[in-house]
Amino acid sequence: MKSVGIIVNPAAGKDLRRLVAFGSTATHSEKVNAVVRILRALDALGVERVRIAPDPTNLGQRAIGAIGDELVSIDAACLELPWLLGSRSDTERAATLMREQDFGCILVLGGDGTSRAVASHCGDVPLIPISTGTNNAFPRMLEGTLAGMAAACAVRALHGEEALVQAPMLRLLADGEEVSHALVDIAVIDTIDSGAIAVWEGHSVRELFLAQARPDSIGLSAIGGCLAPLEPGCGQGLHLQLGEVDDPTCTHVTAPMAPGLVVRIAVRDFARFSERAGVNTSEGVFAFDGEREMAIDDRFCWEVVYDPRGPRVVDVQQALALGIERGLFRDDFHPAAYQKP
Amino acid sequence: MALGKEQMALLYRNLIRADHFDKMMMNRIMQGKLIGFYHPGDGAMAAGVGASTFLGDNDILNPHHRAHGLGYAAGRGIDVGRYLAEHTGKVDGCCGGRSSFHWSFPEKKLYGASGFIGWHFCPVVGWGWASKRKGNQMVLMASGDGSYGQGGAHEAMLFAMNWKLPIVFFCENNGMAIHSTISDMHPMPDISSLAQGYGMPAVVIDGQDVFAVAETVIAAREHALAGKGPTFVEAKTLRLREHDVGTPDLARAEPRDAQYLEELKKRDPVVLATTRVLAEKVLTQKQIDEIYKEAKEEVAAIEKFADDSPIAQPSIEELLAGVYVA
Repeated sequence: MKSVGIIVNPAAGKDLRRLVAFGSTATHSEKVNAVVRILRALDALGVERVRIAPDPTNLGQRAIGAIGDELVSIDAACLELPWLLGSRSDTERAATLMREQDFGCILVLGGDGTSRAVASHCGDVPLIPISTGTNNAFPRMLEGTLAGMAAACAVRALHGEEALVQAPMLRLLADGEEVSHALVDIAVIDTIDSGAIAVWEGHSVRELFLAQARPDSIGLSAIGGCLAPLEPGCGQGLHLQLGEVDDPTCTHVTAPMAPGLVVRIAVRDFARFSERAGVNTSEGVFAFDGEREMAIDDRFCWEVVYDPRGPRVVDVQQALALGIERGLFRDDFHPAAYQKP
Repeated sequence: MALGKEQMALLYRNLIRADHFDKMMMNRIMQGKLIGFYHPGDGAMAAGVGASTFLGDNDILNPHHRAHGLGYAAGRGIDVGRYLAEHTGKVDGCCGGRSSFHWSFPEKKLYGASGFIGWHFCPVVGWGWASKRKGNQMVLMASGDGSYGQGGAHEAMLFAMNWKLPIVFFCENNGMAIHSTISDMHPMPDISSLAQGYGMPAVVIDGQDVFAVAETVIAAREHALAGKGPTFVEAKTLRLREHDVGTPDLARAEPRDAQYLEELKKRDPVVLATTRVLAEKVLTQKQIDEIYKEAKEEVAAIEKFADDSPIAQPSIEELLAGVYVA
């Protein structure tokens, strides 16, 4: 049976948007509780091995310690990483190890940025992204117990591509070479630095590329979601060019930029794109999944490519339904018939 | 809200100055040219610089003891010559050469360290109350994770929140309190979770990133000045060296792993900020070289000023004049 991985971002859900907006705080104790709930579900449904990515705050060890000897059969421990730097590289190295060790699925607790860091290193290992961040378009609000049960279904009762969805993603190219990517949005921000990383000021956004735009999301992608939503699986991205809020020639849309921060945004132009769209802005900073990261270098020609073959994500509802259908929740379940090779 | 080019350049310049000041203090204590202790700030100067550079002149600043507040001193623009003279017992010191580590610059509303960690929580409530009455003034109180083991921390947060005082509780969390690790001292690794119990808005940021710290404290200051009450900013930082010079660098009773400390140097704020200002075209390499040259010249002038100043030999009357309660 393949192992299940858990990666928790200890920093998610704690940034500046607690001050400038009304973001809730994902406390450390709540994250530990979520991992405990996942572990108990995995154990109850017969998963044999789980590994938790280590972090400087010892979240995984705290969760395992909190359960004590209550786990029945699962081998639960933290992955071994030689150094922890308290930065994104810890997440990336853990995802790489889980890919190299052929894990069956990875539960990711964090926001869009955490999922992005994992997705860039996990290869084909399916993800179950769980929201503990601020603006979450990629991960969803999901109770830990149910997420653990879905992960158990994925490694014990499902075959091949069953209950998997391939999420789209965006790739940023400089003169045709990929330099970065995003799972939900790439934005051009009218500033010169990445500062406190988060983006929450609508007037600072000049240009926006979206891989998804749902009416029920929050953050940058909500601008598209409130104006011209993309249907899941439509195979297209959305490109928006933003203007000044007092420009009467713009279309004005009201959208939730952050929790409790519903603002008017001026959109100069918007259009769907199937393959690639050029970046028109020559100054500013690129933000990937809501995090300012890289200044635009005007020596390059910048393009955004819509890639329908992004990370593979477990459809939790479908995974649970198939698990139930195949008897995983019954005492007479026979795993040999369903386990992935 | 986002920082502009000039603000970033100023932060970078202050960071390099603070780093040079810290190295100056290290050199001097190793040469026997300082009175008392020195608590090195190597690798941890960004938090102080970011937190203090854009405070208003009216704002009250209570710096952290790490690097004896030099990051905050650089940001606040104090006369570091008088600061060093104080640390060398000279007559031109900011407190007449009598305080060493327990320095202050009242005229700059900058009050340094006392003899024990966590002393400052209750005075901060008083400063906060005065600031609220006066208006257009706030308090930034810096301290480490260890100080939040003091009962006064909780009293201060309680009163600050109840009275909606304009205070930013700025915690430099380096995960170490002398030889104790944070897991020995606190049930949860985020000190900011304490603030949430009082309903106080709290954020956790990368304390190695001087720009992120500055942007966050600007927002927290605006929150305070708008009458919205206190906030808690937890800056995750690190400690590359021993707690204070002369004390072994232990975690519990074991020496800290040398290879791990070497890895941590990748997170040195000077390294991180230099990469950023070059990549984001805030500064050229030539401008960076000039900032380094000026910082070296400033250190030379500071040392000359302190060395040239006479040794303080206050009379009994002068000493008694500084005693509030006899």
